[in-house]
Amino acid sequence: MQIELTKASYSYQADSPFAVEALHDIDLTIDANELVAIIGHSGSGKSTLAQLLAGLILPTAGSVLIDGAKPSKGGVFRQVGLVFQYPEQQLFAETIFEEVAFGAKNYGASEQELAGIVESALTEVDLQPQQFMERSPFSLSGGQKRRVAIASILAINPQIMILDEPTAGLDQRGRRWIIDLVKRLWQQQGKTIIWISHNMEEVADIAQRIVVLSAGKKILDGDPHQVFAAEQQLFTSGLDLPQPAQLVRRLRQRGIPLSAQAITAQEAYQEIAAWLGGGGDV
Amino acid sequence: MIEIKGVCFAYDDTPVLKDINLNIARGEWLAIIGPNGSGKSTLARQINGLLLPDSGNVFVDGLSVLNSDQLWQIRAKVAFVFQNPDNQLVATSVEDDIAFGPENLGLAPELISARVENALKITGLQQLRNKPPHLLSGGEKQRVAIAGALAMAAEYLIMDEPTSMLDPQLRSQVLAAVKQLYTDYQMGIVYVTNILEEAFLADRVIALADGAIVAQGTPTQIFADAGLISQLGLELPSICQIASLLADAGYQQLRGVGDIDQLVEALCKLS
Repeated sequence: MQIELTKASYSYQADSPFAVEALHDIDLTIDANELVAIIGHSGSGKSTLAQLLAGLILPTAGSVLIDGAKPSKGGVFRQVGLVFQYPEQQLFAETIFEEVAFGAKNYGASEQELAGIVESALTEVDLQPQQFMERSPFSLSGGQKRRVAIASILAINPQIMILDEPTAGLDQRGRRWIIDLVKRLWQQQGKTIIWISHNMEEVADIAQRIVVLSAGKKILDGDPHQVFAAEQQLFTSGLDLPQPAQLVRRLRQRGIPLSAQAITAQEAYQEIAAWLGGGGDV
Repeated sequence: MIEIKGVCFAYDDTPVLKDINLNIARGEWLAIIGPNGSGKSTLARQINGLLLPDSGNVFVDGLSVLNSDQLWQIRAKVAFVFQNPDNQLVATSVEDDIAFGPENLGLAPELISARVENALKITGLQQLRNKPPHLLSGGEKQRVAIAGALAMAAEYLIMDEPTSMLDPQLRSQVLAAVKQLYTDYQMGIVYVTNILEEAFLADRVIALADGAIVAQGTPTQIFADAGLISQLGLELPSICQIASLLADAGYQQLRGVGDIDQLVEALCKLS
């Protein structure tokens, strides 16, 4: 399943004196089972792009197609699940069962099917179904609420999942859990993952491909090493290198002969250890 | 001096703070770290009496949070910046919002405008003085909240994960404003975070788990203890991970280094 944007632009309040163009002339093709990160400064258009990819809004110019087709009537792509930023803020149902079942039910799942769907979605997010199904989602901790929100998207079994800052505000344990879940959905279930983030280190660790937005335009698109090699473009867009890459850059400026390739902690460690082993004194 | 003495606190029947004892001096920067649910925010809210202890007491420069007359004096000394700035901006323009606190103290108008002017300058908000706060970016909003603390001439500033909703550049803007309050005004800073890089800016770090203080020390001491950090469910900042891997490989002097400048200097010495 391929999702394709061609010269797509989007303006808020288009055709009015208050029109603001949030995205400009975006060409972007994402193939089945890719894990793509979209990064950019606040206001660069990341969340607008997410809504465009999900078919929630239609481009004001250009097109967005899934396998060549436009969004179905009602304006959404059923194959795309979008997990909003801070999704726990949008929980509404009385029980966790109803919350998780809501989307799947709207898409026509029968009562019998729903029981199985909800059970497997909750299991996927490590919430024991029997223990949680009848509870109110509002009795949960912030991290658990976020899992329920993700389960409600998993329940509609989308082929493409878009996650808007899924780890924002979580502690490391919570972040690790989300990253592991997303990797599982990507590797074992073959889903396409679109991960929106402003955390450079997270992105350096997990993404296969990174798309950089700046002021509504796509300015970079490539594998993490290519993208983080374009440091000037990142700086002028208000983004930073991941910390390990910054360290290597600073050491190079001080004349230490390292290659500029390292972007993760592990890679930076290996570069530095190799240099120390090769000539540094202990 | 903030003195937290034997503080216990429970939400309904769930104990959240268990016998916390802690002093924070003026001019000190204290970071409180710990996983979600460890009691960090609850502890921060005890300091200016947003929550009151079930047992024990909190004193700020000798004033007790349990004395309702003294509590108002405490609130004038201790400012609070929340995680989500939308929860605390009240006025229709940036400068009115900053003036809100000092106006409530009943200060003379000339004094209020001098303080507001100074606060705008220090937080770099002069250009935005007439803007409505809801049109600002997250980082700008947090700076308005910090400017408000400055205009109150607060002596202590409590911050509860003030950057967790911000992107990296906005985060450094906020941190720069906090640094200035710390160095130029000798405010006491209590900084709650689960972003460990930010804890490196502090003089002292305390780690909370399950409502109790499980470790305290300088950032370098705390982050040298990889076992503690993983037991807390936290992850070392990547610079610290690199230092720790190098320490494991025989460069012991690098253990606990977490600041990029320090690591660059230490490595340059090795060459």
